[in-house]
Amino acid sequence: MTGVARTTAGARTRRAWRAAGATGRAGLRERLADKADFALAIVNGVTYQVTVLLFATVVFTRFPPLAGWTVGQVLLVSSVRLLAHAVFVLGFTNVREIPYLIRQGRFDSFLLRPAPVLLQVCTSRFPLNAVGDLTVAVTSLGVCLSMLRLDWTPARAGFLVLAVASGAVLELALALCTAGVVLLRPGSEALFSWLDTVIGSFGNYPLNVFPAVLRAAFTFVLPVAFVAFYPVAAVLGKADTVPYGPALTLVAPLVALVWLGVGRWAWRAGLRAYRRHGW
Amino acid sequence: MTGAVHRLARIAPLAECMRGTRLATTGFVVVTQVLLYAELWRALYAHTAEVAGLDVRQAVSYSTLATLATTARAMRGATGESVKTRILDGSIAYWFLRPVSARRYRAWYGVGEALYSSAWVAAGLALGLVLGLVAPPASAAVAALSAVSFGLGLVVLYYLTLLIDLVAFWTVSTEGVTRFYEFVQALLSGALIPLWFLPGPLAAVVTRLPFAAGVSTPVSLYAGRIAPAGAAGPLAVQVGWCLVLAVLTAAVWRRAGRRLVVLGG
Amino acid sequence: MTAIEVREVSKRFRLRGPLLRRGRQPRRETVALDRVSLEIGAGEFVGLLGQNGAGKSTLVRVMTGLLVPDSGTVRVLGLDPNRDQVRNAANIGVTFGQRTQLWWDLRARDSFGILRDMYGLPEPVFVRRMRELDDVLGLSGFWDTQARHLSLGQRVRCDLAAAVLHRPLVLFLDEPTIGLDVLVRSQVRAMLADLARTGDHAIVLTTHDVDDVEALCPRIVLIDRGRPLFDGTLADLTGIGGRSGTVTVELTAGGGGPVRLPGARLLELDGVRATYALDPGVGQEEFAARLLGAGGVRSIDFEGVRLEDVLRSVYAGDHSRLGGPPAPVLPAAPAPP
Repeated sequence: MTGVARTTAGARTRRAWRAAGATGRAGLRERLADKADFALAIVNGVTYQVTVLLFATVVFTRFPPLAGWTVGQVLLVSSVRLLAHAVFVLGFTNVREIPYLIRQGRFDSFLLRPAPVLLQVCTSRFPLNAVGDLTVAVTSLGVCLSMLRLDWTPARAGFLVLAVASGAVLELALALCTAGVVLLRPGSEALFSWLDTVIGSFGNYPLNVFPAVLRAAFTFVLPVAFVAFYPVAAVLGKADTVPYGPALTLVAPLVALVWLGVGRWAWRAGLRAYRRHGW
Repeated sequence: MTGAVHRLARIAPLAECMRGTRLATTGFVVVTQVLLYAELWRALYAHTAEVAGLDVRQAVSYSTLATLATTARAMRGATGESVKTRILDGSIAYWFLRPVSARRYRAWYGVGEALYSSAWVAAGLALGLVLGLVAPPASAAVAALSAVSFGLGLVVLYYLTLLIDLVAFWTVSTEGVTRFYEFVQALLSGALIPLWFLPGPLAAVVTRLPFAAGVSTPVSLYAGRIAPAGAAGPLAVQVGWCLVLAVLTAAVWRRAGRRLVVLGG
Repeated sequence: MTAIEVREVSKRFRLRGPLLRRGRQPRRETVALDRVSLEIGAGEFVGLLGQNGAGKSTLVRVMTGLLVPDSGTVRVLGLDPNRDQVRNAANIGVTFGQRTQLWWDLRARDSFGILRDMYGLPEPVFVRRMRELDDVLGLSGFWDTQARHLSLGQRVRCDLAAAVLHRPLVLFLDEPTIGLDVLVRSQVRAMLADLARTGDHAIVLTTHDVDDVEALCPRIVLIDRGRPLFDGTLADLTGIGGRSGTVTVELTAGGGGPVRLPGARLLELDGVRATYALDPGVGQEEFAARLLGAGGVRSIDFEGVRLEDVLRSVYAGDHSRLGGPPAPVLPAAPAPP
């Protein structure tokens, strides 16, 4: 038993990562095996992001300036949202694939291997469409930053990076919450695309345009506004215009971490339920 | 030769109703989506009376109907009966070992799906009328024409979804395709925003695509954007798309069958 | 009457290379079936054996019409299973091991109802068949459960019922007993034996389970590297395998009984105990008669050859006594001086 006892946490983590690396490489190779698949995945990423942008653009051009935000400024909200989404897709999009992994029987085998289940899920297939997602997001961000002509202080640049990071973490946290619900209550898989649509449609605007109900909902219930709006307000120096006070523009990373904690709890509860009752 | 093939239409509704969770989720998604979009449009209209010839009441009606028409379908995902799921669990071969061809089977299954989603649309419409989200149809003629157009739209959407699903015969994964399709369809069908809001040249292109025939046409008829007198053209376009897509899917099915034959199920 | 006719069927698979090749890998091709001919009559129960990758599944897929051979023809009850897929489907029943044809969200019973509609079975017939199948397979305990919640054994039984619900004359069963416990396995076997007894079904059973084959299949087809290596009865296969049956004979003390007899080779003589190896083609009864005729025998103990031993030696590469493919002829072998 001493041998087992001596296996340090560090060694376990290293082993887990090695296992994840191996499955991740296998996933990538599998994806590259099919040329059509490869091309399609990238086109997907591009199209998905373009539709989001198009929707946003239509709204800006058809309706008067949104609550005192210029087109360029609103576009920055969208761009940060897109980039955060792309980062999320690159690392964690497979969380949304759990129902399919279960149907395929792969999820059950993940439960048996000596590596964290989430890690195995995330590396089960390389998310090629992230390449497309990233391309559009970066382009959009570049265009919008050149429109805005901001003077870049280290603080501002730091805020931007932090905004993208916390947006991605927040999206992961929400995906984990959904995964937890889906594992606990089979039949609720539609929540994944619901989440996608809600963030994709409502995360791109200044929160100010929405009526009070939605402002509250997107701040305190489903933190859609923290994915991009609040941190971007900080980047743009518009903290004084946001609902519920300027302090919220600075707490996006904190909110993201709190939600990540909730997501982790939901994920574990879901896994426990799955192990106990199956699906 | 086989007597009761039409009864295959009951599979999809039966599967949906097997689980309370599924019904609850669909209800939750439909209701929240409708309300969120209604709020969004009201907010956008806060400082304008009319945009592209549409007032706030019409915009909200439009958005509600369009959301209903798109969200109640395609709810099944991983547990549904599709080429994708059957390939995933390796049982697609059975589709080709039964006295009802895979194509016919999928078509009857699709009828069931369409009936199921129509029930949601009908319920949602009734509730929308009561809550004042949807304006009642201007006349009996409008109601009848939009019902016909909705039916044709269902056929168009069936074929589009099927085409995407059949891609699974060629690619390892279709999750990207499906998600991409959901979004493109939501945008180009006019489910997210009325197509007249799109910039002129783009709108001209988009209204001629089959996506528009799926949702935009029936909803435009209902909301009064297309007058009953001018309905013949758009309805003909819908019929045209039904035919084109029918021919196209038939061709894809044939190739899919051959593909299966190469891969060996 | 011939139920299945496979004539000169060949099938190759081209293995597709990855998009980005590491180093220079040549395109590879494997021969899955190499000019296979096979005839299976109505009422025959055939065990299709072979190692993993020997071509069994490919052959089943060709016979069910899921795969079109590169060359050669297949007829199932006179129909081309691929071209006449829909008409052929009414004649055949198929199960693929772990793959289920049940509808995942529905109760097993609903799945049977769907199949009833697909195959156009009249309700009374359907009800009667379900009752019969329930009697043999014990389905009613779980047929109100959704397919996704069925245990493996329950699902396999349901799938078997689904495959025979329309009374197909030709049945292809791929690993029907894999992963089943002893009880369920014997239920499944009993059901298959029942079907075989009716005498008009042609059943092809692909399996690695030797016990299934020994219990059910009078005829065995052994496939190896895409070629049928053996086609005959179980008795023939065990008789001519790498090791023939042995007989241990106890002689009466000091009786001076038989030592050398025609039809068997004396392996060992230890006091009053003699062990013989039967020559190929010599039946147990025949040899026993000879022993008894010679007198001085106290007891005879036949030890049969188990199929598993034969397969093990064949899979290990010993084809010596199967009479399979001709041994390669060495070109211009120098004549011995």
